[in-house]
Amino acid sequence: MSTAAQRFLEDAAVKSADLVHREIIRRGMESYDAAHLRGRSRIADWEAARQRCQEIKREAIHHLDRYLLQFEEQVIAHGGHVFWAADAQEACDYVRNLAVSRGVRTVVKSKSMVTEEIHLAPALEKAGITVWETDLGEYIVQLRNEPPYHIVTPAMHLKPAADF
Amino acid sequence: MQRRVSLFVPCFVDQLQPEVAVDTVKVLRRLGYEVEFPEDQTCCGQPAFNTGYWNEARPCAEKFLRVFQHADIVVCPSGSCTTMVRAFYPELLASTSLLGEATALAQRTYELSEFLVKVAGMTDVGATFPHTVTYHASCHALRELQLRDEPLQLLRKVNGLKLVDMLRSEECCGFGGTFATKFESISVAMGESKAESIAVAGAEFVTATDSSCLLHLQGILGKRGSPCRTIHLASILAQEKL
Repeated sequence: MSTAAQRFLEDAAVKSADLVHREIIRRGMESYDAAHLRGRSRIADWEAARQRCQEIKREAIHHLDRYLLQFEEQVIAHGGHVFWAADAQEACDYVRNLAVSRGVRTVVKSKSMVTEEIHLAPALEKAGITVWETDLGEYIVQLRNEPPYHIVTPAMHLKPAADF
Repeated sequence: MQRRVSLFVPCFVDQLQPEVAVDTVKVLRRLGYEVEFPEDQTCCGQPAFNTGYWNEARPCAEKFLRVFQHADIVVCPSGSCTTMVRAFYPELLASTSLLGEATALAQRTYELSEFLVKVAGMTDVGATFPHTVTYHASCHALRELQLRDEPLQLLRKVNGLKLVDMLRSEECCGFGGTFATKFESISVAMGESKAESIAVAGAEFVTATDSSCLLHLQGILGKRGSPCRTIHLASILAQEKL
């Protein structure tokens, strides 16, 4: 078994037995479920909408060869620039060089799992640039020097100080 | 109406809870069905399929198709194994010459409560079970076969049975087949959450469409010293007045 898989099992054994953590996640999921139901009630035919979304997503993923080129075309047509990065390193280098060449000292960034995956923030910080997350959950975990706990709800493992 | 059905008995039932298969036959016979049991049936191949061993799962699927090729209707007391045949066989055999046969058999294979309510058109199967019961919705039955209300419709018609709601009844019990052995600690934690919901329900029995979930839950409930016992839906439906 790879070390990462082994570490996951060890971490999981500790976390899943942590009853405080379990209660925090339970509460988080309950409020998420409640919000989900509220959102759902605004759609007349939920199952049909869901099915349609699935089809659209699948279609897009299966035809990225066309859609990515179409996206590039449209961005250029609207005056934007497109850079095709072969890997995370190239993507980070591009953004960092752009920032450095413009004399940028501070970056505020939106919540993005792509930037999380390619480790953009550490790459910018290495170039002496200060990076601030603007999404509240991401900002909280940034202050704690932690990666996001969950891709949609980055700080759901934490409890408000006034709670509990 | 079809009066003859073929019984597909999942491994969990065959090896660990054979009484569930016996009870399934009792219910079907009581309703006037002739039950045929092809003795050379084997595992449907789901553990291998779910773990990524599609090449190893395929011979199981091929064998299943041979064994049940003449069956008009296949009934199975498990949402999980029914899902394997209904939803996953066509996927597993997609690029083989057996796809047509697999798709046809998928349409003729039903989970027990699904068969009773949707095919036989019956909710009152003449059962008596004077106990409080809470229902756990097994993942495959609920999410793959879309069986939300069928088991409840059957339970509501059982004489003397008091059905009590379970909090988060649609949440996974944590068993998940090979998941329980690969990620034991997470599986146990999920089972404990489920056991808490069961405790709140305060029922004498927790039931489900699948022995796999129930065995997992029985282990956890037993360890916690819970007075609640597990019972398969088929075993409730098989009970008659003494």
